[in-house]
Amino acid sequence: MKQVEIDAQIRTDSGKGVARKLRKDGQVPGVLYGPKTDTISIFVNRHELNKLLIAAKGEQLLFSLNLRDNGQTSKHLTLIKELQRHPVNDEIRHIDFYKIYVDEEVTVNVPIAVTGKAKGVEEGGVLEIIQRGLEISCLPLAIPKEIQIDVTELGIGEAMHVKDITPPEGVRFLNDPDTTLLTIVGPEAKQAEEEAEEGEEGEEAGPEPESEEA
Amino acid sequence: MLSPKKVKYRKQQKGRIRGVASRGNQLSFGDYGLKALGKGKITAQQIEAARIAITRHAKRRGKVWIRIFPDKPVTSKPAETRMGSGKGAVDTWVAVVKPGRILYEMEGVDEEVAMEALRLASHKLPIPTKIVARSEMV
Repeated sequence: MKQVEIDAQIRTDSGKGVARKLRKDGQVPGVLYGPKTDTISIFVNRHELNKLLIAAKGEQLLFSLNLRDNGQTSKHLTLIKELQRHPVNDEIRHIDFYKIYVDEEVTVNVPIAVTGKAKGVEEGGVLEIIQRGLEISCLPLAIPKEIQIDVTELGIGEAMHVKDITPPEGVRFLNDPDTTLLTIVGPEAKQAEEEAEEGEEGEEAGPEPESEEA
Repeated sequence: MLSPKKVKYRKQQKGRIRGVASRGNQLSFGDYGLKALGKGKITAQQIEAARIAITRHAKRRGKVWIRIFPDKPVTSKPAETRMGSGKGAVDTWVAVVKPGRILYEMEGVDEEVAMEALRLASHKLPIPTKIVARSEMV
């Protein structure tokens, strides 16, 4: 797992007015919390944070937070617990840092990466991903970038469950072992869908349907 | 065409569209999606036209999700009718869309196909949109 450094400063005021002013100045309001520590309101530089997140390409990062408070600097090892983005322009609005300890297990969500082309897909089926991430528990430095799932042997109508994959060393899956991760949908299901679509398209090509609710 | 099976009240007031989408603003099912950048009322016909554009371009491969539903009735009076005599009959059903709302999602096709299918779909809609991909999400 990649470890990066970022500077943060303590924020004494709170509220939407303060948060708006910070955002206008190119900062991101945030909060630092975790077990055995008090909750601290902070802010970080948006440009710096964006640069780190873009470079990570979706990978979970371990943040070494240099927290400045009246000339004093303290270091905190953290994970991003929550990242709020603007719904339209995707600008980061708020960030939650979760303090962790190197020798204590953490619970994180790790993405699933599908490898290979399934047998069922070659026969005309469609790979349907049901669960995109797995809840795992492990030491912070052992957090994997992704959980790889090989689907080459998967035929039509078959599914992959949590119990079918072996966790990497030092990692424990927290999801129910019977949770379905992905499945190959057969051509019959696709055909039924197609027929329904054809019917609808035929209807569209025909005369204008009456306004049924009129 | 999409429309509710039954409704509690037949006709509704027009209303105003304010703010941004606080729900349904992230990709939840597919790898690619079409996000609304403006606000507006999308009719059932427009939703259907865009869906057909997507499925035709994707040659019925992959899977498509429609993330909006037209649940608001819009009434209109017949042509050349004098004003008054009550509210008109229900003419069409619309989905009220706020900026940021994901309209369609796709999965199971190549990036190129998905981008082109969603571009074609965007031309069927009355509001500005952008294509979003899961890989861009951090």
